[in-house]
Amino acid sequence: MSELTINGVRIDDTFAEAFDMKATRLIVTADDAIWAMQASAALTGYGTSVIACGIEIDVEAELSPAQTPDGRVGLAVLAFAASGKELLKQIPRRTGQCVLTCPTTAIYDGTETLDGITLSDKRIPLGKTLRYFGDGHQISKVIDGVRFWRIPVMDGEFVCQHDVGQFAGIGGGNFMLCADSIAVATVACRAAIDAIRSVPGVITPFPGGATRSGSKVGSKYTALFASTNEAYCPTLRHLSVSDVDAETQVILEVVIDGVDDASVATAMRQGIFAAAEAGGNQGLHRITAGNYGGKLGRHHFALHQLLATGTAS
Amino acid sequence: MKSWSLQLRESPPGRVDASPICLSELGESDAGGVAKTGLACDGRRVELGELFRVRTLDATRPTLRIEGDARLFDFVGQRHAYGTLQVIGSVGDHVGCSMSGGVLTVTGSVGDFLAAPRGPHRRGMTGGKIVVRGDAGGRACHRMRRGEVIIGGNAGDALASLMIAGTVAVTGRVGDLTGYGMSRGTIVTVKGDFASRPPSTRFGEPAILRSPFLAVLAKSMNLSAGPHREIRELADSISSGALVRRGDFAVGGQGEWITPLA
Repeated sequence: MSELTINGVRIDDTFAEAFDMKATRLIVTADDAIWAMQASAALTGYGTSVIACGIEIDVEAELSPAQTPDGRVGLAVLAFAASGKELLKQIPRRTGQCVLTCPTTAIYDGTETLDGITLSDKRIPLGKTLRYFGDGHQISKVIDGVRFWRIPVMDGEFVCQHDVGQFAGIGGGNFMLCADSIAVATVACRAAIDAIRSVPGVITPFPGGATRSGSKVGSKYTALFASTNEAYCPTLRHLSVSDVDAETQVILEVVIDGVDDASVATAMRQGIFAAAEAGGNQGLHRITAGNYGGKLGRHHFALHQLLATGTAS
Repeated sequence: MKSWSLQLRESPPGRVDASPICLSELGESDAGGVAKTGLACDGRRVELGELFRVRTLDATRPTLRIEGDARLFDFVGQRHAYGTLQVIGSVGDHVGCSMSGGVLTVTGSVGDFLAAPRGPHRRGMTGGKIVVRGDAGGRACHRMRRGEVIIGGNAGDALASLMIAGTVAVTGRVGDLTGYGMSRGTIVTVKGDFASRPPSTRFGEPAILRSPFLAVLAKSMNLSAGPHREIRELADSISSGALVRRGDFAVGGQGEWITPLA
């Protein structure tokens, strides 16, 4: 087993195992950045994990007026689900309750400006279903071949695109920060998330970008299909399956969803370097990754390889 | 698919039904086939090659270009569905009458019935975009069903009459009976003209419209404006807010007539 350390942090020779997911990208605009942010916060709320939320959704990037269809400030939102059917259920419902309701906002398809993706023939309805809120007063407009819906609301009009594209994304890229205290793990984690924020095409859907409740597949309780990953719980280090070393008191897992292998690999690479830079020699002593032996997900991100070359295996 | 340039040799002896000049058909032909395309000129069959000099065109996207004073050519772009149809000059009546997609640009003016249906058909243009840099005659966008029309000059009487849907923007003056009987659709004109023609009860009182849609529409108009300053000015004048009047109430219509705020 080869050894790799960055700033005194040991990098395990292991890999993160990620899965195929169905994904979409939305652009939320508003008269000002505050409304755009508040609509996006509502839209992406309760969207940390497909395990119970049904969807993993978060803000991907802030957009300047030049980057949005209506020339206003906006935010790009990426959403991932286990199936296209779930996206079809979640996106119109969330848009209807969280964006339509927020003053001055509009929402558009953000997949058209994504490079390197192949759009599915199946599209996700947006205005196609939300238009009925207009109760007959809604107006359909086709501009340059794109259909928009204008729904009269109390501040003027809610504008949304008829539907949005869908493509095959990747969910579950990850790395785990093993530290001797929550304070050090927090510093390292926040440095990683800050670095990942600048990478296009990825989101870190958990609160603050990281989770403490990393899960394994299955449970002793038949009703659950995921449960705590005891191998990484410091208080269960006595178990034979434990992978918690003697120095570790806290583990935080950064989970990354992305539009393709390259974006997830780039995010992992930049996140790991930033975490090691911030937490190395401070109490962050090891970075590892979660996998299921390579049997469940077809996207494997070997830490040593991606840190050396920036590519997935 | 090939692109073609058709350069008018001389004015035809009568009005020509130019509907066979269609990119979807000519794009698959060779030069000989294009030249042999039959056209009806005052009831007499003429070949396209008799009237035009035919050349292939080096274009990145499928393009059909007609060059010359084609005011005697009617139904140009009748079946246009994709690619670009460029007219360098003016054309006759019924331009883009059953057009369903693509882009049609005219550097000069067009006759009557722009984007309107032909004969007994109930729907005019159903998709795509038409940009006329000059004037349009009467009944432009009559019974238009979908798509965008930008007129860089004046429009005649009954603009968008019985309009079903779609968008038409006019930078110059408009004639009488604009929007007569429109059920849906959008008319955009400069403020002065509407103000000088007090709306009858057919249209409602003006309301201030602040909608992101205006910016989307303005962006599209700006992209199509090319060197045409008036189109850009109209687009910019409505991009952040406008006055809107709904109508035609005489037919229970939910169309809209948009003019700049100031």
